[in-house]
Amino acid sequence: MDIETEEKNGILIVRPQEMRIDASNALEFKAAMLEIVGNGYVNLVVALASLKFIDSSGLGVLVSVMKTIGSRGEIKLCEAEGDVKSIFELTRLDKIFSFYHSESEALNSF
Amino acid sequence: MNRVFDNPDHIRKAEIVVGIPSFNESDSIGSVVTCVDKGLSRYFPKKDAVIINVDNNSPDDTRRAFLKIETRTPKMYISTPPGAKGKGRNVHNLFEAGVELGAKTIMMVDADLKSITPQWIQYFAEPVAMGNDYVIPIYVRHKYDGTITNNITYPLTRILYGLRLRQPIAGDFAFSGRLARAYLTEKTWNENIAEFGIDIWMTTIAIARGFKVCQTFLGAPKAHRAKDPGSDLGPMFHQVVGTVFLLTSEFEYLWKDAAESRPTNIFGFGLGVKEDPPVISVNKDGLFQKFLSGSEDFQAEWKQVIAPINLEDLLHMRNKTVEDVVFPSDLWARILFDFIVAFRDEYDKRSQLLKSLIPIYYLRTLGYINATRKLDTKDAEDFLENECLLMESEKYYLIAKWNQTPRKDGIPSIAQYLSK
Repeated sequence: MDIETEEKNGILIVRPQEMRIDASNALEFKAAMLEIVGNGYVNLVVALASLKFIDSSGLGVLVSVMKTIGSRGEIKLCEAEGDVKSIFELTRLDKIFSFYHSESEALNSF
Repeated sequence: MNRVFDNPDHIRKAEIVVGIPSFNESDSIGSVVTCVDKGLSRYFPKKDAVIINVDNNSPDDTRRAFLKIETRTPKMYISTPPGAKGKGRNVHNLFEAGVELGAKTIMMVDADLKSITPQWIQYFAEPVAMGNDYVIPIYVRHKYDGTITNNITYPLTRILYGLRLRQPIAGDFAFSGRLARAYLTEKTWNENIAEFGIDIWMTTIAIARGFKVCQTFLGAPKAHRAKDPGSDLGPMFHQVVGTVFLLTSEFEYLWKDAAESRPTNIFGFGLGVKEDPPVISVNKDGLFQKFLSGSEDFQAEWKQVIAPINLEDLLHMRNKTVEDVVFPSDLWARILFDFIVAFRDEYDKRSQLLKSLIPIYYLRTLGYINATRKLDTKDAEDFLENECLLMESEKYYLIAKWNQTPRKDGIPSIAQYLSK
């Protein structure tokens, strides 16, 4: 799975480059995210700009990462649009995750 | 339904009806009837009451055993026709009798109960008299008793309908005449419900149709014919779990909007209950072996139903030892949700789907036993509450999967509809 990362002030920006995160690639996404957390990054901004669709498995990865990080840090989401934003709202995960319009807004919120 | 009917006291009306469903309970029904009679005489001496044995034409002559017991309260015997079996059919006869007699309060207690006391009658009937339609008991159970309740029906009732009802398939309930009439006209009745699915059906319908539901504390630990959780589940698992899954489709419009669960009103107090519930012995090796062989036998079904992200974690557990098995609640919740969605769409394979869930349920049970092995009854309850909260936090997965999985009945999912 193609994921770009960039560190700014100890916060890691994670940019999945896929258009879909679903059952077919969620395992790879999970492995990549857990590796990031395993490397000590517990404050994350996940930029969802490229994403057009995320399914229950993809959501499961994000929730699982959030639970793994626990009180050690935070995971913030940005640039979610259209169907991607809708599924977070439908499942009420928009109340669990913090959403921001842009990466810079998300970074400044830490 | 052609009922077999005995009404030696020519009862035509009754305010309180106590039903005792049975099949081959001639040895145990006597003590339950005596206890119910004492309770009715002591706490409701001025009310017209009747005790009804609703039976499946038991070959052991439960009818005779029931009718020969001397009681102050009049008795009636109703049986399904020869050949018709199932607790649900007996309970359906109880609904009909309760409505025909004009009962305001109807109770049902299992015929194999060893721990029933006369006070149960009071604790069940009073909440109905106070305006509740459905009264469900809370009693102390051994931590390994009721594993279908602890791992499936209790958490799913919380997750789906937002109510914390600790024993949703208790087998012993009280309900109003108003609710009995609603049960008789309920469109979701089917063959599974006519057997072991009856208890969860009654509970779910009471919640989903907006009746007033409460719990009543019965105190003494429930003692009945408890089983090793690893012993053969027979048709019970299929009928109970199948009913839960079926009603999930029926009440889709309710559970998607139900947010976090909330406690339910409880009548009575748990003070003074010190007795330990009867101990249940378990065969942990047997549970693990059933999971291992299930992982071979149901490989195809698991691959089809369970999302890869969940299946990987599940299959990892094959490498554990019996003592090391821990089954995370969030994983268990997501796997149950995978099955719920598959059950919705795979009409022809539902029985096989439920069969393939059983080995995973055994592993979950083993994980629960391991996690609570050093805990007493109270601490095991606290542990379960925490597990349920974790399972509730995975509800997003069910909603997303339910909406995004294309339906096989031709109705587009919300995701498909929105993308047009």
